[in-house]
Amino acid sequence: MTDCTHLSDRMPDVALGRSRWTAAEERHLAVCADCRAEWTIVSAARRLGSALPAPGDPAVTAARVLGRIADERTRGRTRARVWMAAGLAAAAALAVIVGSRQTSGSGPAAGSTPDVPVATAPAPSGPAPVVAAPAVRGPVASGPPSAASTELPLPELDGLSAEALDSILRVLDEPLAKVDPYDNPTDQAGDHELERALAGLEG
Amino acid sequence: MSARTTPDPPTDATLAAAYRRGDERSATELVRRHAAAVGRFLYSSGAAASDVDDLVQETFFRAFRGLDGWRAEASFRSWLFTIGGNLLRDEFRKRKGRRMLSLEDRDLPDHADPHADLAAAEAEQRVREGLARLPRLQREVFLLRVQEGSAYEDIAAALGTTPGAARVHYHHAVKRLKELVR
Repeated sequence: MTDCTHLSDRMPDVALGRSRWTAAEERHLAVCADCRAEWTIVSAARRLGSALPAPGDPAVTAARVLGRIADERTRGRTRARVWMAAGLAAAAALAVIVGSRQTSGSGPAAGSTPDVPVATAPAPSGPAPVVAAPAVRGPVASGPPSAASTELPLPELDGLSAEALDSILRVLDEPLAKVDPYDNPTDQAGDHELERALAGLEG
Repeated sequence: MSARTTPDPPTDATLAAAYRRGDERSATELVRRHAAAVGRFLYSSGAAASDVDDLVQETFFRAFRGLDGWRAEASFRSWLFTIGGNLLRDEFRKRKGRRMLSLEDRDLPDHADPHADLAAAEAEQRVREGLARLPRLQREVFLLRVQEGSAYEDIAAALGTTPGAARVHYHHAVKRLKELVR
């Protein structure tokens, strides 16, 4: 049987050189204009691109491709590290903000006292322990003790007597031990004591 | 006297598996086997001759990067052709619909039989222009069939369709090309 459908199905194989036309198929082609037109198209399509320059050295092409993939993976890992670092930094910043908010409402001493109270430390005699207390308490009350706050230089305190120092430390330690971030520190007995001291100073 | 047998060359699937395990020579072998066919497919699909090398490289880049997507239901080459087809579509969109086909990109005849070769070159050019106007699926089915001799089952697996539908696409492509090339 030689008909147009049969010939159409055979055309790719013949165009690719995998098969040859039989005599009957050649006779059909000679008389069927439609099949000849299709054969012209199929054989032309088969040849398309055959005059293109041969592809370059496959090793070079493969090396370029694999190099790009390696670069992409490296960039991906770097991006992942950057995002991780950014995430950690954001988390740390958030923790600092939350921490400072929780302690920022911890009493008038926190908001009104300077960060470095040492400069206003009192004279080492008389009512010194009481006067020194509000000034020194500032940083202690404004957050948990940290390496920075415990390492602050306090040269003025060096000149105080043992008694005066004990007095200051008692005032400092007492409210610190009671600090609860969810409580209002202004209700604490230590703060009242400090407020009284401040009122006394202000006359 | 013992007969010396040549070991069968590794299949594409074997090479792909070796590449996945880190053997870069397997990637080179896959490029060696398929680069020319991919280039011809891209050119036949409308890529400018001057772009073919870059597009071949990009096709292999996408292929090796997404090698896990090849499930060996279709041949590796057919799968590469579908990647190349996607790439061309992306390029076509990037160029905002301008055709990539260049009039200078015609296969030049050699000088054995100048008249016959010129006629053949003109036929090729008309077919190429006609192919560029076909719907993508018709074009790819036609080229896989005519340039690779792929069976409809393989074409269907590569293009995500059925063998019957692939056959219909092929015949639609031929019919349309006859009208366009006439």
